[in-house]
Amino acid sequence: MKLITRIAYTVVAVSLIIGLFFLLSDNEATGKGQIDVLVYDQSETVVIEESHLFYEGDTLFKVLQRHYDLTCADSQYNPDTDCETSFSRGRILLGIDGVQTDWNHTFLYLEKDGSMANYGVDNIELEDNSDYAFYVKNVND
Amino acid sequence: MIPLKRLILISMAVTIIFVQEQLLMFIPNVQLTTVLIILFVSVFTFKESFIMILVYVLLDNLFLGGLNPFTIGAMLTAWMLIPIAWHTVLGKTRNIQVLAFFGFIFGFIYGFVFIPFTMIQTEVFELWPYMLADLPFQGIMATTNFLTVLWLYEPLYNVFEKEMPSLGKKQTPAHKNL
Repeated sequence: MKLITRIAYTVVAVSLIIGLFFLLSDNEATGKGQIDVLVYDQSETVVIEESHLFYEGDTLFKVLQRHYDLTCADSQYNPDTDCETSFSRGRILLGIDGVQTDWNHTFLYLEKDGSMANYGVDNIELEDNSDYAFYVKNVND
Repeated sequence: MIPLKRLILISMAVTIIFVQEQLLMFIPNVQLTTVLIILFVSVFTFKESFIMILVYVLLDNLFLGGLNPFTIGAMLTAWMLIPIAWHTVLGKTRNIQVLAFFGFIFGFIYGFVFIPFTMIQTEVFELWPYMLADLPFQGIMATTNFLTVLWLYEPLYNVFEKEMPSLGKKQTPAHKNL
């Protein structure tokens, strides 16, 4: 195959991959609104039940970060309170205030308006008057 | 019976695939696994390819996934499509362009193969959200496959072809389509 053909293929492929990474970027709110945040501990007792305002450009992670002490997974899935490691689908939240999970045995399960969330805290859509509930789940359940 | 030198070669192939995958794990779906498996499949017999893929899948799952049968089943099915395709529809080709486009399509097929296994495991039988959420990752894998096969297959194959006599490879016809 000619080098020029290979380079042409490569340019097209690299453009495609850049576009795909753009598709995976955070889902930021386009307006403002209010959400309810509920956090349950392992015994399913509600620990946090609060309403928060969100603004244009916010994500659920940003809203949570403004109000709570968060623990995220670092690149080795160890707890990291800086929450600087973002995976391709955003951050992995391990803990909110006193409710902590360890990734290997327990994890935070997110529900939006009572239904299992398809996205994580960086990518889930912020919708006015919605509630976002976090539960501690065992990996083997 | 597989000669000892060939068995060693298979184990070295598994090691190379496994180590590079661990090294590149921090970038999701960006890996050299596909180009390496295509390379080894085009060098090994079908039986040898099957052994290599089986050992690699078991090792990978032992290390990362706790031998989850759903993941093993999906990975084994998906990776085995490479030797099956190479020995059938691809007509044992070594044409880079054909292999690069095959790698691209394989990136999507690999993701699709996981869907039924994941549905059974999670008991969430909603196809479209899963497909849409996975599509960008399939695209990344497909593009990575395309680029790595396009640029790396030929030099890697040339190394194999040069070193094969000392590694116990039987006589193979020289490829013409590179």
